[in-house]
Amino acid sequence: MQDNPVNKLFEKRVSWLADSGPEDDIAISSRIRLARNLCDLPFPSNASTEHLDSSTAAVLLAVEKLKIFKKFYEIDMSKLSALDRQVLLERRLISREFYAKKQNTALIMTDDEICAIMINEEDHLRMQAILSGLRLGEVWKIIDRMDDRLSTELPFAFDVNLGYLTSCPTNVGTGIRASVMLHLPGLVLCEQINAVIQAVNKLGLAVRGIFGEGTESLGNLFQISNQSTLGETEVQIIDRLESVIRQIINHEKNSRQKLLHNRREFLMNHIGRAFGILRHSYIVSSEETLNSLSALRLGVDMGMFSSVDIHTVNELFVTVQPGHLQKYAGKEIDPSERDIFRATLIRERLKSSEKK
Amino acid sequence: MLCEICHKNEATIHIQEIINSQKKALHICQDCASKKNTGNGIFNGLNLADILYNISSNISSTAPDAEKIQDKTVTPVPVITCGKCGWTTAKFSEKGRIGCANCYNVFRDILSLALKNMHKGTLHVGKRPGARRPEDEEAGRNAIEIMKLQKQLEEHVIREEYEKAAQIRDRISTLKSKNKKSR
Repeated sequence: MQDNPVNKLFEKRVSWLADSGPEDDIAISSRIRLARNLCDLPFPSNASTEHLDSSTAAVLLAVEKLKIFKKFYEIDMSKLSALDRQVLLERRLISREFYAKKQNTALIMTDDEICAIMINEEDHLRMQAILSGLRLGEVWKIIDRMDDRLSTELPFAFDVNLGYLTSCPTNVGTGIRASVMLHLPGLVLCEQINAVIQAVNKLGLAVRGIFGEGTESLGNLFQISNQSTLGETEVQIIDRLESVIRQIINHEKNSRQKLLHNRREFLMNHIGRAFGILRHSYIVSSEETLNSLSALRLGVDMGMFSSVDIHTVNELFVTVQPGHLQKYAGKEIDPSERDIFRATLIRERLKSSEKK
Repeated sequence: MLCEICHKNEATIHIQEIINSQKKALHICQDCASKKNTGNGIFNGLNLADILYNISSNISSTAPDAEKIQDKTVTPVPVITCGKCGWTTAKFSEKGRIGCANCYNVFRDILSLALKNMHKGTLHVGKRPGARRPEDEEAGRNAIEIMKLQKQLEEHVIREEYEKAAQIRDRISTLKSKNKKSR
C-alpha cells in the first residue's frame, strides 16, 4: 500500500465541515450508512481470519474493477498507528467500533472524504456518504448508486421478506442509518432541549450528543438518526427523518430569536465571553473549547461577527480533538501540554480568519 | 419482598417495563442490580441482548445436541444451533448478534418476536440488490400493498367483520404467491 494516506488527508479541509450546504447554520452535516454482507460467508464477529481475508479481497477487487470512485485510498487498518486511526475517527470516516477492532479490517475512502466503506466492521460492508448541510436526498442518491454498482459484483446476503441480512437484527431490512448533525445552542440555552429530545425519541428516532452523552452534550452538537430499518422504504425513512429535522431547525430558530429579544444582554455576554476565551487564552481544555466554539458559532450565525468565517469555526470542532492536535504537533503530547497547544492553534486560526 | 435473582436479600429496586402493552416487573436487590449493570447493561434502556435473553430463556435446554429446528413443535423446544456457522441461541442472547445469513432462518421464531419490537414493520419493502428489474419493482409495490392490507385485516378482525377480513386475507395470499414466483 502507498505511503500513509492519513497524512495527505490531513493537509486538506474536512469537506463536510468546510463546504456550504442548505440550512448549514443549524444542520452541519447529513450522513447515510448502509450495512451489507456477502452471502456464504459468516458475519465478521463469527468469521475466521481466512473468511475476513476473503471478504476484504472481494470488496477491494469489486471497487477496483467497477471504478466507482475517481480518486480513492485503500487503507489496511492493521498497519495504521493508533493516532492515525483516531484522526479517521474524528473526521467521522470510521466508527468507534472500527477504531478499536483494527485486525483484518480495511477502509476504502474517496479523496474528497464524501464516500467511505468500512470492511469487516460489524458487517462485511458498512458504506457511508456524508455531505455538509441538510442534504439527505442528495446523500441517498450517492450511496444508492454506490450500493447498486457494488451489488453487480458482490453477492449481498438478501432475503425477500427480511431484506438485507445484517449481523445485528436492529439493522436488518434496508440496513440504513441516516443521520443529521445539528447545532442546537438556542434550545439548550432556553432549556428546551430535553423536551425536544423526548419528543424525537417518541417518534422512534434516536438522539445522541456528538461529544458526550445525552443532554450533557459538549458543544451543543446532536445527532438525530432513524432506528427502525424494516417495514419502510429507504426514501420513507429518510423523508420521515428530514421532516422531523426541519421542525427541530424551526424550533432552534425560534429560540434564538426569543433569546435575542427577551434576554439580549445574557446572549451577548455568553457569546462575547466565549470569543474572548478562544481568541485570547493560552491554556484551554477540550470541554471549555467545545462549549466556547458553540457560543462563537451561534454568534457568527446571528451576524455578530462579520470578521469570523463560519467554516473556520466548524473545522475547529474537529481540529481541537486530541488526534488532530497530536497530528499537528507531529508527536504524542500529554493532556496538559495539549491544552497549551490547543489554545495556540485556536488563536492562530481565528487570527488568520480575521485577515480574510 | 425478596430479590428475584438471588432470593436472599430484600428487593429494593423495582423496574417496570411495558413491552407490547404488557407490563413486566422486576424486583431485585442492590447487589444484583450493580452486578447486572456492569454485565449486560440491563438498565441502559432498550437492550437487544436482554430482549433476546427474555425470549430465548423460554426455550428450555433439554436437548443440547439438537442440530436443527424440528418442524413438529414438540415441547420443550430444543436449543437451536445454526448448522452452517455453529451459532447458538446462547451466543445470540449473549452478544445480541447472529452468526451468518442462514441464522435468520434457523432463529426465525425467536427473531420474529424481537423484530416486531424493534422496527416499524416485519416485511422488507426497500430496495433489492442488482440493477432494478421491472418485476422487482412490482414485487416492491406488492410488498407495500401486503403491509397495508395486513393492517386493514387486523382492524376488520377487531371489529368482528369476518367476511371483509376473509376477502382481504385472500388478496394477501394472492400477492404473496405472486412475490414468491418473481423471486
